[in-house]
Amino acid sequence: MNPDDSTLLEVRDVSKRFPGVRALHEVSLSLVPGEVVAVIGENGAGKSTLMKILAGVQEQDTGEILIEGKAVRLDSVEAALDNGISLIHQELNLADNLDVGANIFLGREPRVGPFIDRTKIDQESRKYLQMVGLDVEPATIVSELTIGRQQMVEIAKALSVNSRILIMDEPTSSLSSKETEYLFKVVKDLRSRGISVIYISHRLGEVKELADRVVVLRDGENAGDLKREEINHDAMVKLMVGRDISQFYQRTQHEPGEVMLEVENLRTPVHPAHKLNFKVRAGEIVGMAGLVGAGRTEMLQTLFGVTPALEGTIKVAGKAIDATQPVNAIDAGMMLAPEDRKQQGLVLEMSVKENMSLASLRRDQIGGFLNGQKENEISAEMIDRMKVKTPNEHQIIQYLSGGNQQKVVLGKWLAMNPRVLLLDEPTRGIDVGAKQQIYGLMEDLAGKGIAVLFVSSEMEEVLGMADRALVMHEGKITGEIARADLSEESIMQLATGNVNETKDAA
Amino acid sequence: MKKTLGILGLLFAVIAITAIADPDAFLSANNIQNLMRRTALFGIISIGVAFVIITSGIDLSIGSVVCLIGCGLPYVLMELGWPLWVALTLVVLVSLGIGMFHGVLVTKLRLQPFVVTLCGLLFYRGITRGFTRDQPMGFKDQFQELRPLGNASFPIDDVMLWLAGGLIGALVIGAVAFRRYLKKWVIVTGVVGVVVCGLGSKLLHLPHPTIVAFGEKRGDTEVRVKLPSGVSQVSYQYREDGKWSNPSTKRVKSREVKDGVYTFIIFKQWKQEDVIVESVPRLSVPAPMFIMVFVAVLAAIFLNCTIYGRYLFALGRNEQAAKYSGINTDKMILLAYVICALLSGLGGMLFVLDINNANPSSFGNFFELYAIAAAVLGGCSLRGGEGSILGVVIGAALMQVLRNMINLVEAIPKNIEFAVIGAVILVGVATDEVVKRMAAKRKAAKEFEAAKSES
Repeated sequence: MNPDDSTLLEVRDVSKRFPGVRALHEVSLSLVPGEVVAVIGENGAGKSTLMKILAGVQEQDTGEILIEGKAVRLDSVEAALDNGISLIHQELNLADNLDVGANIFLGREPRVGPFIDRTKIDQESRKYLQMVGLDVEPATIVSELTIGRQQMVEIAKALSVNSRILIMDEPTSSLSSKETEYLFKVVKDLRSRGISVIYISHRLGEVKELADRVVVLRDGENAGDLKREEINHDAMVKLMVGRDISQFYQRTQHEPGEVMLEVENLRTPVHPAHKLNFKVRAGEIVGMAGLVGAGRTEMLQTLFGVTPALEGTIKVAGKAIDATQPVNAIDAGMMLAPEDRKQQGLVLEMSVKENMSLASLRRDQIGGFLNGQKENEISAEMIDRMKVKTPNEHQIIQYLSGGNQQKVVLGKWLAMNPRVLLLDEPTRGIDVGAKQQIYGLMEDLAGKGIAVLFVSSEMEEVLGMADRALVMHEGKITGEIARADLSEESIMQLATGNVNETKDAA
Repeated sequence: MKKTLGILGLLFAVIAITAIADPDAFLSANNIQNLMRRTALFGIISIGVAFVIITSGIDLSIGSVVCLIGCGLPYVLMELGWPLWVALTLVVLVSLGIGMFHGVLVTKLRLQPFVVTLCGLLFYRGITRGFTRDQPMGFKDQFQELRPLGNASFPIDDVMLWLAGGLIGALVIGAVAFRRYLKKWVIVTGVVGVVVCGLGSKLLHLPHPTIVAFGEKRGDTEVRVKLPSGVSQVSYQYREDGKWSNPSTKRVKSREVKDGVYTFIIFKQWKQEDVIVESVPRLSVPAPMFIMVFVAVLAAIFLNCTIYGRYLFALGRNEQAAKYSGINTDKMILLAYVICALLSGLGGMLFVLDINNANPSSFGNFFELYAIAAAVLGGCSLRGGEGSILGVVIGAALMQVLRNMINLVEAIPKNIEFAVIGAVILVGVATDEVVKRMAAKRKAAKEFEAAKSES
C-alpha cells in the first residue's frame, strides 16, 4: 500500500463512532484509477459505515479523505458526487414509477425554458445505457425491468454524472447467475475505461474473480490487505474472522434422532407455484441457503403461522399443527427468531425482562394474573445463561447492542423449551463475539436434541454450521447438500437455479 | 410515573389559579360536588378510550354511543314501557355489540380505527335521532330506584368512615391471605390512610339538628330545631301516604337563628312523626365517583397485573413482535374496543340518570374529544403502548377544572372555552415531548462520553 501520484482516492485514518458503538477506528484505504478493490468483512465490521462516509451520507469524526492528493470534505451526497463518487445501493435507489431516462437525469433534467427537454434526455440516456450494454428504451418504466437491469440503470446514472469511483454494495445479492455474469462483464469493462470500483460483497467467489485487491475490515479496523495473487478463500476468511475458521465454528456431529419437523407439500402464499418438502431431525442443524428473495423468510413465516399456508402439512414431533397463528406453532414447541429483530423479534421500548418473558407469560399465568416471581426468575436465568450484557433487567432493550438483543430473542424462546428452533439470519448485524456465542448456543441446543433450522445469506455461516443445507431459488427447494459436499460453489449452483448439474447432491 | 406527576402538578396549578381568582364560587360545596360528578362521568369514558389508545387505535364514536345509550335507555323505559331488566340488558348488549363491531372491522378487515369509529360517530347519532324523532328523552320523576346511580351523593364524613373501615378490612385480609404483598410501605400507607380517614370523618361530621318545637302557623307547619354548630344548611323530608318525599334544603340565615334555635316553615300541615330534619353535610360525594373509582381500580389491575394488560402494552408498541411471541393480537385489540364501548355505554347511562334530559341532537357531542384529550393529557400516546389509568383520571379532572375555571374566572370570556382547553392540552403535550427529547439527548451525550473514555 504505497500511495503514489496516481492514487485517485485515499482514505486516511478515518474513525467514526455512534453512541455506544465504535463503528470505524483509523481505517485506511486507497484506490488507483481503473482498480477494483473489494472491501470485505463480516456484518458489523464497518463496511457500510465506511461506504456511507465516502458517499457523503455520514461524515467521519476524525481522519482525512483525499481525492488525487487533495483533502476533500464529503459532507453531503452532492459533495461526493461532485468529487466523482457514486454509491449503488444494495436496495436500488430508483423511482420505479418513472421511466429510465427520467431516473438517469433525476434532479438535473436538461431544460428548454421551463420545460424538460425530453429529446435530449433520450439521446443522452441512450449513450449511457449503451456504455453498460443495456438495450432498453429510455421511455421504459423502471418497475417493468428486472432487478439486474435496474441495477444497470443505476450504473448508467452514475456514469452520467461522470463518476470516477463506483461503490457497489452487495450488487449481486438479488441477481440470478446470468445477471451476475453480466454485471461482472460490465464491471470489467468499466475498469478498462479507467473507472475505479469499490466492491462490497459477502460472496468470496465473486471477490476472487473480480478484485484486483482485497481490503478486509474487522470490528471497525483494517484487518489486512490481499494483493491479486494472494486472494484465496481461506486467506480472506482468516482475515475476516481473525482466527482459524475451524475454531470459529465449533461443530460436533450428533446422531440425528427422530424427525422433529416434517413439511409436506407446503405451498406458501408468496411462491404458490412450488411445493416444499423436507424434514429436520432432532439434534440436527440444517442450513437454508439461497439468494435474497428466494423465499426462505417467507417459508419460515408460513411454518410459524404468520402467513398461513395455501396447502400442505407441517408436523412437529409427528403431530400435524394448525399453522394459522404463531401460538399454535409455539404450543407444539416450534419457535421462530425472526429476521427483522427490531420489527418482529422485540418490543424495543420495553425492558429486557418484559421482552424475555413475553412468550412465557401465558404459560406461567396465575388465572390471568402475571406471575411476577416466575417472570423475574426466567429473566434472571436467561440473562445469565445467554450472557446478555445489560446493566439490569429493567434496561430498555433498544439501548442494547444487536448481539445482546438477539440473545434476548433467543432467551425468550429457550425459556419455553423448544423442540424445533427456526432461526432467520440469526447473526445479522451483530458483532463477532456475540456471533460466536450464538454459534456455540446452536451447537449446544443441537446436542440437547433440539432440531435447528436456520436461514442464512452468509455463505460462511452455512458452510460452518450446517449438518446439511437446503438451497432455495425463487420459492423452490432446488437441492439438498450433505455436510461433506458443502462448498460455496455447490451452494451457489443451486441458489442461482442450476438444478441439473447438482442433481446427485439432492 | 413522571408524566403522571407532571399532569398532577398542572391540575394543582389550575385549581390554585381558579381558587385564588374566585375562592367563594370555586370552593363552594356545590361546585366541588359538581366537579367531582363531571370528573367521574368523563373519567369513565376516558378510561375506556385509554384502552383503545394503548393498542394504538382510536375511538371517535364515544359521544355518539353516549347519546345512543343516554337517549335509548329512557326511550325504551318511558316510550316503549319495557321492563327495567330488559332495558338494562339491552344497554349492555348494545354497547357490547358496538365494541365487537368496531373490533372486528379493525382486526379482521384491517380497516383503520379512525375511519371505523368516525363512521360509528355518524351512524349511532343518526340512529338515535331517528328513533327518538329528535325529541328530548328523560325519566320525568320515575325510576327513582335507578336515578341515584347518577344523581345520588353521600356525605363526606360517612364516605371517609367507610374508607377507613375498608382499609382496615383490606389490611386484615392482606395479613391473613396475601402476606407476600404486604410490604412495609403498604402497611404504613394503609395505617396512615386509616388514621387520616378516621380523623377526617370525625372532623367533617355534622350532627343532625333536634326538633325542639313543632307547631302550626297559618295552615303551614312551623319547625324549631336546635342547630349544632357549623350547620349552615338543613334538609327536611315529609311522609305522605306512607311515602317519603325528596329532601328539600333550606339555607340557614343568621337572623332566623336565636340562641342556637332555628325556625322554619314547611308548606302544609304535617304531624311530627311524618317529618325528618337533617343537617346538610359539608360536602357530598356523588355516586358516579364511586363507580368511576371502582372502574379505575379494575382497569388499573387489569392493565398492570394481568398478562392481558401486558399484551395490550406490548402490541400497542409493536403488534408484529407481539404476534411473533404467540399473542393473539386480534383478540386483544377486539377486547380493547369492547371495553371502550362498554364504558361509553355505562357513561351514557350515568349521564342521563344524572341530567334526566337527553337531547338526541346534542347529548354527548364532543365527548369523544374530551375523553381522548384526558387520555392524552394523562400520558397515553396515540402511537400506542403507553398510558396509566391514574394519569387518565387526573387528565379527566384537569379537563373539568379547566372548564370550571373558564366559567368562574371573570377575566376569561366564556365563549373562548375551546380555545383555552386546546391551548392547555397543546402546551401540556408539547412540554412533555420537549422534556423527553432533552432527556434522550442527555442520555446519548452521556453514553458517547462513556464510550469515548473507554477507548
